[in-house]
Amino acid sequence: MWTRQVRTFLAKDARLHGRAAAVVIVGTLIAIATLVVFIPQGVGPQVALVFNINFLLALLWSEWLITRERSKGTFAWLRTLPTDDRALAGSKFVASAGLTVLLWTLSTTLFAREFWRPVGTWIVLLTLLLTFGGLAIAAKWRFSWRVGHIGPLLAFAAPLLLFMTVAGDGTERRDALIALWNAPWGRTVVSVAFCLVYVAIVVITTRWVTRADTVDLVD
Amino acid sequence: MTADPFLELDGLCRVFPAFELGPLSMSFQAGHVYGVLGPNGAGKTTLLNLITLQLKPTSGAVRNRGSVIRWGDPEWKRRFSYIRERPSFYDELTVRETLELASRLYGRWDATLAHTLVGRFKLPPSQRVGRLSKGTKVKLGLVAALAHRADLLILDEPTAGLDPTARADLQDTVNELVKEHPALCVVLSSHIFEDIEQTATDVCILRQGRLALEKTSDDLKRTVVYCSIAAGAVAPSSDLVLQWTRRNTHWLAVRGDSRLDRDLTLRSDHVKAQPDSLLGAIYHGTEHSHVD
Repeated sequence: MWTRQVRTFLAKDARLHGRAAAVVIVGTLIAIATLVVFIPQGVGPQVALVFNINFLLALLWSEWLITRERSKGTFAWLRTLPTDDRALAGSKFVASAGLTVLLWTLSTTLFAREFWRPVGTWIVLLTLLLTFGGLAIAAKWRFSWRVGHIGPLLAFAAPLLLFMTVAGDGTERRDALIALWNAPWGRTVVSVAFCLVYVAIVVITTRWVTRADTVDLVD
Repeated sequence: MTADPFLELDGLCRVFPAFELGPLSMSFQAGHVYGVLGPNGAGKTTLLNLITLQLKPTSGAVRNRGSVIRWGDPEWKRRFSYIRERPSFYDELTVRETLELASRLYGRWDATLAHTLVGRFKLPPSQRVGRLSKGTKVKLGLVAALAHRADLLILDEPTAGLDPTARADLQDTVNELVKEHPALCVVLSSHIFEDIEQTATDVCILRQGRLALEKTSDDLKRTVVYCSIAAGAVAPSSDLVLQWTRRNTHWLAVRGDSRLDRDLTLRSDHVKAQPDSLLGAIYHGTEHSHVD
């Protein structure tokens, strides 16, 4: 029953957003290709571009999957049907993760193969994107439109700023962190850490959705 | 032994920072049509949201056949259909796709009946829901409600915002469905008595979150006239009472020898006017003591 409902919700989201998502993904790949061909800037900026675009589009997926349903009140209709709130919440995370994995795989394979060498780096960045996408879903569901947009960015900017402050260029801490990163288990540990954060976000959000009044799920 | 009511509210209460509904205790029987009346902000939608598990009660419970309904209970959700004041279907989906989505989520679904009702209500299957009028969206909700064989149909202000023609059309539709499904328990909310007077067998009036009155529709109609005269809210000889009672005399069982009483015995099938007497007083709370 639970998986059937998840499939039904996913099919519904595919019907609602599938075409637009396909256009955005193809358009993004064309845009990256154009930038790479006509404005050659070297490997560094190119891989940064690919990662940043994936990062920003994780926000777009959550905008489609959550904000739109909040503002139109469609969650309120689904809530009157004999649905399992866990299936509803789960389907949103699955849809967001699916789009993130698809775009990340396509864009890095075509334009940023450096991320695949070693594959651990690719996996770490994928788990980072998944965590960010999950956080965006959770924030947009739980908070107002503005907080839902800014919250995930702040949640990622704060640790980054902290890292740059305490482990800036040439510092011993930075060298130590790089050594940990390059250790045989370094990337695995980071990936697992991101996965745990992601699972925690999914569990906490699902729990909140199942307990929330419907008025808290819509604008 | 008396059977448990289909639906029972047991001290149901929901507290908001600026509003409190309840505690409400009342029961709903299968085969009855309940009209929930009250001014805007009286708590009608809150009550319906509590029954349909859209809101958690602060205290009290909702029971189905004696069993407490737990939060999120899918079995309970399978038994009712709730059509909100502004039906929030997916605008991008067509009528057909919306019903397909509902059928997959409900589990029990009579596709033949759904198809028949779509034709009867003249719903355009390929039309996007976003292009439908509010009245047509309510009809779409009714199709879903009947096709999944709901035991309880809840309509929150179904005619609000409709023009008179669409309103009459929708009222006729609801009346027909109620007659065709005599075992269905229906709860209709409105802030306009006219919207429910032809359909409801029982009426309750909510005011400021409290139950101001709970009667059968016939009792209410009698009460309104008797009390309005007895309380002096309207002078017995006033044209207002005479006009109103002439239009509504099939509601009344009148005794007496006065001209008014004779007029009250006139019978009419035309129910058009909202009584501007004690019903209004009950509704707005100005003369409640006279009703008690």
